[in-house]
Amino acid sequence: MKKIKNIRYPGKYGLLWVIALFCTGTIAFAQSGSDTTDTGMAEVSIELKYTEANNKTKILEAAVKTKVEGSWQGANGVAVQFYRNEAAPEQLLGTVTSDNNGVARMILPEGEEKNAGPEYTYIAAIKNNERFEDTEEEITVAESAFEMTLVEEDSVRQVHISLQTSDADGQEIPVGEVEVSLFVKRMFGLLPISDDPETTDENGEVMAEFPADLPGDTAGNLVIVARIEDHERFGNLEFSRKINWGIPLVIDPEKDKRQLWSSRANAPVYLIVMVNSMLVGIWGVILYIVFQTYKIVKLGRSKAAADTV
Amino acid sequence: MKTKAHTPLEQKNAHSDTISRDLMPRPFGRLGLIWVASLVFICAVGLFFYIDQVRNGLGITAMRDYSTWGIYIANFVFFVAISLVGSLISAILKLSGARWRTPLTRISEMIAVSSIIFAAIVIVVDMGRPDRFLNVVFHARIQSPITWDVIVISTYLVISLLLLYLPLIPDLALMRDQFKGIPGWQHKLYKMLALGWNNHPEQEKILRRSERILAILIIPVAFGIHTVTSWLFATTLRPGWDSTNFGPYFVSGAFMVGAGGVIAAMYIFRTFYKLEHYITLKHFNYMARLLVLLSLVYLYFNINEYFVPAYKMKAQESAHLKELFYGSYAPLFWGVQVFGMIIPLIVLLFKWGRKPLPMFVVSIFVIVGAWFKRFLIVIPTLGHPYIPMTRVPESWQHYFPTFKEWWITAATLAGALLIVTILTRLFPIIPVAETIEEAEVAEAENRTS
Amino acid sequence: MKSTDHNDRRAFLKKGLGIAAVAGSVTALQAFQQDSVEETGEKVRLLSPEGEIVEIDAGYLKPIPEVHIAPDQAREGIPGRRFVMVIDLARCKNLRKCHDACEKMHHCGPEKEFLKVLKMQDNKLASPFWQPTMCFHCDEPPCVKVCPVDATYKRTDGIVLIDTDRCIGCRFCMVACPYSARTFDWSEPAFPLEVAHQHYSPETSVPAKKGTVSKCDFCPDVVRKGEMPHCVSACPNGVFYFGDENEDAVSNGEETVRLSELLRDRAGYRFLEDLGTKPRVYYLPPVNRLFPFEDDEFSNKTDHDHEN
Repeated sequence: MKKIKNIRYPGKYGLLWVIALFCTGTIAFAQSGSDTTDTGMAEVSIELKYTEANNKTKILEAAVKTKVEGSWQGANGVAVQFYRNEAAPEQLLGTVTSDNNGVARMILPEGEEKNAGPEYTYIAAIKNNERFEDTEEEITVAESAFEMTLVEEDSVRQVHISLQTSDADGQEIPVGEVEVSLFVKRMFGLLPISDDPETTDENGEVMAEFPADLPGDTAGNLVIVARIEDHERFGNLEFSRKINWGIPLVIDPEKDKRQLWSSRANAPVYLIVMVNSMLVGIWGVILYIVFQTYKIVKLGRSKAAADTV
Repeated sequence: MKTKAHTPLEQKNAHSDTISRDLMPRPFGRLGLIWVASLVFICAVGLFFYIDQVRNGLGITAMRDYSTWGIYIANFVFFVAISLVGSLISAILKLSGARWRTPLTRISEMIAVSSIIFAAIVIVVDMGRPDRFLNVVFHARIQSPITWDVIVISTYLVISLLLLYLPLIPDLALMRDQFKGIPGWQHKLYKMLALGWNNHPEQEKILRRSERILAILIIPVAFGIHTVTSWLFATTLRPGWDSTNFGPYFVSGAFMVGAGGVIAAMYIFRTFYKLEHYITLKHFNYMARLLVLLSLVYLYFNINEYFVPAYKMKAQESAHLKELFYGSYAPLFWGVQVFGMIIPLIVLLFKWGRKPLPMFVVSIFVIVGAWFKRFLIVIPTLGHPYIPMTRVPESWQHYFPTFKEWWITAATLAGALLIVTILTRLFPIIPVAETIEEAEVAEAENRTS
Repeated sequence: MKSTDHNDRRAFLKKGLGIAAVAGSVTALQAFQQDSVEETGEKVRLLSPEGEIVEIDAGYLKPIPEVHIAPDQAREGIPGRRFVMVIDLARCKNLRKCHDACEKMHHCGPEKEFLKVLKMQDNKLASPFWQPTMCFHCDEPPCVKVCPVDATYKRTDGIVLIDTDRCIGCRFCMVACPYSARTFDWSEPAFPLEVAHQHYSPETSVPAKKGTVSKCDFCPDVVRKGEMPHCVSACPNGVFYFGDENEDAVSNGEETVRLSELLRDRAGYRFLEDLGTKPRVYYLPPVNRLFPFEDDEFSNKTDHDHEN
């Protein structure tokens, strides 16, 4: 991290752009103490979103918005403090600065939450900011177990979803009547597998058939994503998994290689042969003629020499 | 040459002296100087405007995103067209055994060389980045018709230069040996270019053979140069250009304007250099017939080119054709067809029309008509793209060249004329050695009969 | 780690704001290992695109650089992609947000349009409609065929670009393009200083140069980052869908749909298909429109070509 070079794009590996988050407890995004002024505090709002990915990674996303010319817009560069249970210094999880879209994102430290009970409260706060007035937003989510298993039997591919929660005694309880959407990850978004979301049954389960005609990458891999969105108790739950259920992408570099619209190095062979043979033929004759004029010069010299003798 | 031994030496010398006296290049008269000065002036101002164009971009022209090619390209096509005269006179007529062509070969080769040089210059003038001209060589894409054009133009230029130069060698030797009272540099030039020519039979044999080979070689290259130039248009999908007829249409038009150019040059040189003995009524008569033939061929291709699409009136073609037939380009279109083709055709059918002066007037019609014909081929098509032209300034929709653009174009035409003028100042307009030889042959034939 | 809040890290934070580029699989990580990296011994955990946690050395973490794609690199397409656009004519009401975003991002002047919104009318009885047009990035591009110097080229990801460092300004490509998609810098283009000093890349088409041709480039610079071209993201009505034909999916920012289904169900077509250029831009016909057609001040005059 010493020097930011212009790195060559590692294109051949199909670079994936990922949200990278520091998962250690003390997140290094902390800002050192800032000079604050008392004047001109702008109105600010926080939308707090909780996402649990693959049943273990817990992400808090605070969208910081402020009013710019009458409309709410994301505010970047704002330090947002994340707390558990209450906004007290000893409960601080970390501080993250909002990005260009005004979103501050953090991954919760793993392992600490297990003994904290079936429900958690998280708080995102802006405090002592030089631009904005102090603001707080909290969200309460219940403990959940959201899992996806992928089963292939007799060439029928099925996606199994199960959603469980736990009661006060730590007993697992299936959650029914929850809408689960299934997607395949594509370059610019999530492609729904089915037209309508599936709903969990009384066992908290969903079974859905996976279409056989979706293209994957060159190895046939694709990423299947199951999602529960904005659930009142659980927030956002997401489970994704890579599997080779896609139709492998076949890239044939030889196809259409030599065409009229190819680069100069890949000109059609017939064209190269035709043009060059014409060139050789015609310029061969021209060079022959030039050689003939040289013979005229030589003859002139020999005659002149003969005359002088 | 076989007859040479039978001809008395003194008689031969008397003949050749008159001929060479008549045909040797001579200094410009007063009129000639004014002519050269005007051409130089036009070129100099044109160069000044071109420097402005290099500095400020092609924005000084009226070309814009839709009318992206303008009179530069039309002018380029015109130059390529007129350059075909060289191959017509010195190759096609030579191979068809038309002996009368002898006095016309030099003029036509001079026109060919100067116009092909200016065709190349005009293309550079039209380039947005003339500083990157060498990309055409170092990054050449063989798939592009422009690459073919670059290849074929340079080939044609070399062959034309050789076709101008080789028959000139005996004349250069003649001037080296007989031309007195000329500046030293001029003598040196003749001496150098004459390549030590001394009428050695072996030399004559080589020369004749080379000329004959070149005459054959230039025909496919000549067809190539103009066909490829037509492909700059015909390989696109634009209505009005999207035609399989374009190659022969261009080639026939080129031969026609080439013949017109020769007639105009014949008349001018005959009048100003007093060459009535050499360029005779017979030559005018033959050229008139040739021009009629070429006009008829061109008429035929014109009918194909306009009648067939007009009969069908495909949606995309119709806007273009209607604009030519009765839209804003109609006066120019019909003017060119009538004055540049129909009227010359009719005039030349009459005996009085085949006299030098009427033919000169007709040839000017043909040349001017041909220039505007190229304008009509290049420009109106671009005014009718497949998508509607909305939200563009009025001037983008109706291309009309700017003053500087006209002047730069005029300067290239003046430059071509200047090259021809300088060449005629330095070299005989009519092949001297060949004329002497033919006179001897004729005489020998007279005597034997 | 709070104590490690030194300048380097702050610089990193400012640039990356907590978002770094990492690859989700071991093979992709190797791409990073090609650069010489000093391992710090400090492990960080990252979220892969598959939602899995990967633990790597902090030394491999890099902020997303403003990747500058040099003209030579720009000739390579983004591997495994075939970009495609679908334009839903039923949703276009000539708001021209696409045009404005494009003009802003490519620093085009008012007379230079990479993207046009045109009033179209097939015949007198048919209702007129608005049609955004741009470079169609044809699979058999007539413009690329005619380029004498390899200045414009077709990439493996379907995108047709122009290298204005190579272009000689002959404008043959403009003449060859039946869609009038190409523009020319007739004079020295005027830019703000910071744009003029930007490194030129064919992927951004910025800064433009006098005497060369430019056109819609499908914004490969942002597409590389997984974002959509500016016209697509600027449209409030979701007119533009963009995606990868190899993945059979296109997205307009709101919804992601299967390309093949969309074209089949909505009778997708390509403009002037009979010319055989095989455009990579499809149109959905203007049926069941969201908005009634409203003329603007320019459209009345000059669409003579499309009325009988």
